[in-house]
Amino acid sequence: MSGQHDLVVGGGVESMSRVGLGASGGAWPMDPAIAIKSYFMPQGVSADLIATKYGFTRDDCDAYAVQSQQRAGAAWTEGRFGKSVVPVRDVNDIILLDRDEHMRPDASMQSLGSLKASFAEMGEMGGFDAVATYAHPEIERVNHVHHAGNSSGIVDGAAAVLVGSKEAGEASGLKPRARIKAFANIGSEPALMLTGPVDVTRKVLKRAGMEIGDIDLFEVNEAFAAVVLRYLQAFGLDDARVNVNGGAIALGHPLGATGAMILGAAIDELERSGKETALVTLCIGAGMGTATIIERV
Amino acid sequence: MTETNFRTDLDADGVLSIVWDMPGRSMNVLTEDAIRELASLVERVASDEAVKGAVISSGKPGSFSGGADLTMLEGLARLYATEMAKNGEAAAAKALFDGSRQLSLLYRRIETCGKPWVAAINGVCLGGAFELALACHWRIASNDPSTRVGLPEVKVGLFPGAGGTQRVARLLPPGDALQMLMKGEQIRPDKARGMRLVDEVAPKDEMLAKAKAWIVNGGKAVKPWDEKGFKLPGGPVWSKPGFMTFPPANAIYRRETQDNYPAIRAMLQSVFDGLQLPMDLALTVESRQFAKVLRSPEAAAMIRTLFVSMQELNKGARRPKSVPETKLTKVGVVGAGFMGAGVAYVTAQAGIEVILVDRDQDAADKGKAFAEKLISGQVVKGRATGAQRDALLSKITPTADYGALAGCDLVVEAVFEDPKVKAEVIAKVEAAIGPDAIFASNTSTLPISGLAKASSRPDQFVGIHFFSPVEKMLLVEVIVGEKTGDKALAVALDYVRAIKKTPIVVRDSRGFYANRCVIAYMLEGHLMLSEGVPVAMIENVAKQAGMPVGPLSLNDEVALDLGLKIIDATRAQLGDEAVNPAQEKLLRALVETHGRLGRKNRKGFYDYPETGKKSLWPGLADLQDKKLDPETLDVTELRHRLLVAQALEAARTVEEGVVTDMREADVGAILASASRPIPAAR
Repeated sequence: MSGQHDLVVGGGVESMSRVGLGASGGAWPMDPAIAIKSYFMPQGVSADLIATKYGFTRDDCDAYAVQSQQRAGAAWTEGRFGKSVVPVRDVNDIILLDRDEHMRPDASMQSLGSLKASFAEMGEMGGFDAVATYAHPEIERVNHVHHAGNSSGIVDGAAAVLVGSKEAGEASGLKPRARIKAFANIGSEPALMLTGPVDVTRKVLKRAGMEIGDIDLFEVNEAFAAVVLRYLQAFGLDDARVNVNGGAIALGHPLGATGAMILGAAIDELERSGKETALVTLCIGAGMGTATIIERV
Repeated sequence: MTETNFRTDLDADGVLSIVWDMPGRSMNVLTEDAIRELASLVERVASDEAVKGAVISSGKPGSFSGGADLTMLEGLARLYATEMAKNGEAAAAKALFDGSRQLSLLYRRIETCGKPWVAAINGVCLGGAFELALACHWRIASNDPSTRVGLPEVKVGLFPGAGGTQRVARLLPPGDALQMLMKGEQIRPDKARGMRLVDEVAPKDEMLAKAKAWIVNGGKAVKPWDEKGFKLPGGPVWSKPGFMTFPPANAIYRRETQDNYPAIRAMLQSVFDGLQLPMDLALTVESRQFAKVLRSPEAAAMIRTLFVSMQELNKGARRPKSVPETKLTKVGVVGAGFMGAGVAYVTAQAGIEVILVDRDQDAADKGKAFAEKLISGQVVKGRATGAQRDALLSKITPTADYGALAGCDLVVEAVFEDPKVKAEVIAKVEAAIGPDAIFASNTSTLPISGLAKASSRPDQFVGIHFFSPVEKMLLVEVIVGEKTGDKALAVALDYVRAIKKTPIVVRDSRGFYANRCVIAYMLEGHLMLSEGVPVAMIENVAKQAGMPVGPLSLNDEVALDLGLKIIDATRAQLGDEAVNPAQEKLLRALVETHGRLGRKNRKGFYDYPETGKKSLWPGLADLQDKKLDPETLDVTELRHRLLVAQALEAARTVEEGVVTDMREADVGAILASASRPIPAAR
């Protein structure tokens, strides 16, 4: 952790094809003592609640998803991820995998339009819609807008970043690519659950003595389309500065690896575009947010 | 020790027959005495070598037992208070915990005493009595139509705290167990066997022999959950099925109760925690939750209102004692519309002959057809038999002939709310009925004393105000006019008791009692809307406050133009000051500008599509001069406003002498707004 080690590898490996969602157990959804108080809802219902509360329609979310796919597709075609993709090889060093498999660059409003909302039945039958309207009573009913095409992909993935002090880097003969300017975590409203990026961005900007306009580039994890749409809305941001090479809707969200992945993507893009400052942020289940501000060196 | 509440007989096979038969009571009930005697019987069975096992049954015809005597809880409350005064809160909590789990420990002793126990159930077996049966090693129920088992504790703000949650959740998969516990329903024997709540169903006269045979043939005195390798019927809590059960159960708890029922929450917690523990620890967890619920103000209030006060009112607390009871055999209902037909239905259901009169045969027949529709619906749902339907329908005679009313003990008028129309009906009815018969007007808006002026015998004239829909709503207001005599009041109360509704006696005044509270509630909703509170928020916070429907939904059911008529009438009688201008502006805009009358024309505060759910009319936003930001509003304050508005109106009715008995104010307010006083899980 910060300052306690000279040089650390941060990252993760996630095999969602082997370990399903919810497999980790935990008291939060199950134990009445925790679940009732914290307004537990499956994340998709919370994402639909965010869309309803802040006025994002199914079309808004689908349009955002199409853009993510198109941006990711273009980025791959131009080789923008070249520096960060490590091929997977078999025991004979034969390449098994060297590109993202989840992307659908040809996705369109029509193709997404045919998908059924994923969380409508769960919300209705499982009682979670009522939890949503209890927590946010100005809402008459939850508008279920998210589906497989405008939510993050369920994928396998691994990523790592090397973080260290200037001295440790120099001693190892390494050249730094970016400097961490500030980082922060925050607890956020648990029913909305996934609006932590908004709260933590305010906090980290304050800590860094910066304003939203000082940031050149944003990576906001695309857990669900409404998470990013709410982020854009809250700060009045132009989406030309946000997730410019697509995000988890196109590339997937291998939970434990995503943080390192999008931090790397931000560094690659700063170097490619010659810009200076990026803010990387993710929402976290149960209502948290994390954000890091980096500068290119 | 000889028991006074139980009879015992040891047969040649060593089976001890225990017949529960409490002297001086029509139904067995778990009292401190009965529990003490049962405890000594349990020890006798355990220690006497001549006893191989025990069969417990009831000596009462038609019932096993209704469960625990809730007044026992008063003893626990006294114990708590005494300890609190002497030794402080921690000691008091411990004393209550120890005291409130005695029954649970006794039942566990039955389960683990080493000898087989069988419960033989004929008639109703509910609450603590069914928990006793669940603790036995085998349960046999009679197929008698009166036999029902169930755990209805949630209906009075408690939950089954003598092992019920743990045993049910070890017999049924957890989802089914939670549903059964949350609903508190009474279950028929066949269904109970299907659920594994009883092991066998047999004819009443074969039941005891079968129970003994089970013991003689080697019935095991060990419960499955006390054996090695026991597996829960739905699999472990931490499993895929568990994950399909508990997260939705937590959410559905909130949906169905709005988190207003600590007993249901404690029950859910007991099942969740208990299923992860061995039986003795699980029972301890259940006891901890039970003691916590006993300390809750919600349980105290629900027991007071829904058990003690309601029972007293149902038994005729307000009935003039000087008048001998009238057993009604024939009742007239004039006006076969929606209300009148409902009145005819509930009257016939009570086994009383009904003469249903309307202006022509066709209209009268329509009223009977409505009753037929209702009872047929019950038959389809399995709640009534074909024979019961035929019996009910044979009691209703539709006619246009007022002469048929001769011989009625009581005539209930439910015609159009117009004093002239009512006066004509009063004259025609009084010409037909005998000199002793009572005339009752079912009016919701017209003062009884005014209507009684059209009567030639105003002392035999009374108001009986039903709530809509009559077949569902439990409350009836009996209105005493200036000249209403004791006999009229007594007959009205005897009638209400016969049709199994709860009466409150109120003085004649505008809106009587219950509707005044309802009107105050709707007014507060209208005012919030005018102030700019988001419309959905008004409806949702109302439900959070415990109201079964939001004020705007309720207004749609009642009709918006009726609201406007009440405003006009109020102004005419009491002047401009009595009318709230914001409410009038809102209702005039809705009714007069937009033609929105409520559910009846599918356009009210809500839109009512032909198919699918109703949704708030988007145009309401344009009727708000300003819009308040929901993030700035205090939800608790909004909830309190909707409740306080009603409480304040109730206090006014007390001040004005409209209501004189606090039990009636309390019970009436609850029953006026709900057809069922507690939520039930779907």
